[in-house]
Amino acid sequence: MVQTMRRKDKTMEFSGKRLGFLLNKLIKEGKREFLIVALVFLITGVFATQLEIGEAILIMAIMIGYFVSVCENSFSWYKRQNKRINSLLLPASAFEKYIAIFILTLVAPVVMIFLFTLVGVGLGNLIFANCYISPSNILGWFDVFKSSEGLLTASVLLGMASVCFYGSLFFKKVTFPNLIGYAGLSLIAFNWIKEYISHAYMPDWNSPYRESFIDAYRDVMNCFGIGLNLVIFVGFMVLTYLRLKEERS
Amino acid sequence: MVKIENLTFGYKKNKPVLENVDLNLRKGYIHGLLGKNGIGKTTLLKLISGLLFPDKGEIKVGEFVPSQRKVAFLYDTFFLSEDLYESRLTIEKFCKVNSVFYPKFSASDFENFLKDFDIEDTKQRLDKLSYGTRKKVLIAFGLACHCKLMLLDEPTNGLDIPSKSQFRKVMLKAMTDESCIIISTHQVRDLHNLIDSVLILDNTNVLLNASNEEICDKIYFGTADKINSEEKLLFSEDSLEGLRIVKENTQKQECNIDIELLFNAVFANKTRFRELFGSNDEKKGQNNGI
Repeated sequence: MVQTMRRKDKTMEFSGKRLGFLLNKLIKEGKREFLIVALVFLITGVFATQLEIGEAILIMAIMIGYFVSVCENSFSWYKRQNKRINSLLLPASAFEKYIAIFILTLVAPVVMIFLFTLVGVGLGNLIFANCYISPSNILGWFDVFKSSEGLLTASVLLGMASVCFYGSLFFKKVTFPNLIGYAGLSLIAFNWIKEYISHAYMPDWNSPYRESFIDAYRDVMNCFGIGLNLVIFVGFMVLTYLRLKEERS
Repeated sequence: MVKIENLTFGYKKNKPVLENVDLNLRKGYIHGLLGKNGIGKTTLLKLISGLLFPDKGEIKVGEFVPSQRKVAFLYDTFFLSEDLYESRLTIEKFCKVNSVFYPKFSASDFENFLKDFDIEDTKQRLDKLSYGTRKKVLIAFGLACHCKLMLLDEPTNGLDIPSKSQFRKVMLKAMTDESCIIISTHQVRDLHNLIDSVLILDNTNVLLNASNEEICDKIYFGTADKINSEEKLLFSEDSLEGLRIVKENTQKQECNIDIELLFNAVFANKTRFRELFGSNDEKKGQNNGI
């Protein structure tokens, strides 16, 4: 990686046309995976309308489904020797390959999963008479992001997506289970620091500043969380690119 | 075309697969890369193609450093690995999706090469084809790309007998003065009448790197009833036709190279071959390959 940084590219090799060719190749070769994801969320959407806790199940399914998809599909080209060779030697720059993979495995699934869940819920409402969820409930999810807690949630999702993106290239095999282990350890560490700070500096029960401390602490932790997750996001995106450039067979 | 200087590479520290290798491979030649199993033939091909990076030393293909994997370098490089590319696409779609990346790709040449290999139906899925047929499709595709550098790792493995001769014909048909083809194999008979230059690897370095003309100039291959002690014999082995011999060509007799015999002779008499063909250091700079 250090070598890559040292070996400066004088020209950033990029061509929109080649990026288009790459997207076309990736879509055609990964058609089956895209169809599977679409079908799973369409069917989940239909049947979730019949469950009282359907909305919660849908959110869980989308989260897990998305991160599993990022982990397993992002660099699926690099997970097997023959595909890795084909991909590394395909006449396109590492940057173009990176952008194509970013678009198709990080951005496109968000849109696709959301759309197919929405269509699934819509279909469920057409098929069944009594439904617990309607398409407007799904569209209402976006309201969460208007609050500062929502921004924190969004930043956590971005951070997690970037870790999965990097993990897909780093672990090659059994990416998701590996990442769950690391994510669990990171969460425990983060919570431990959070608890330590709050206990170390928390004013006494009788202190008049206790309420203000709790409010301020929450705001600071929110901002800190957003900042940290954005740093994680940018950091892992850059790391993924550098690792892709250094990928060997 | 390919210039390697002081190349050292190993998968593990202190256990080099290749050490201080110097090599010049000319364009307009089909180079046969020979060596025992696990000696580093595939590794060398991967290093030349930029799939692996040298630990030490430098590789240059024309003006490019392979490890940088510049697009202009990749346009002109085709690597056929032993572990063949699998795709759910049909031959037709595979060609359509991948050919756009190669500026010199010729669809008509691809069709012709497929015909030469007796592959008519391009609606077949690549992953449903047999190993040999898939290999033939990929060779045809690689040749139709008209890349200057073609690296073929064990291309005849998995091919049936007629296909091996088809392979030789197709390769000779596709060869131009501008291209450099390196074929790695341990099945030396498959390269008979195909290669113009022989490169033999042994224990981390090059044992022999010589063109056919150079080999014929210095070595004689033939048969004999008995061994003449005055002849500078390098190697002999019994066969049904009599004694097959490899000797120094002091009388400048014409002969055809027997690659298998050459291979065995080189390993039986390493020192003399090094003396005859010069060590790597002596050869450095002699071949202006590019």
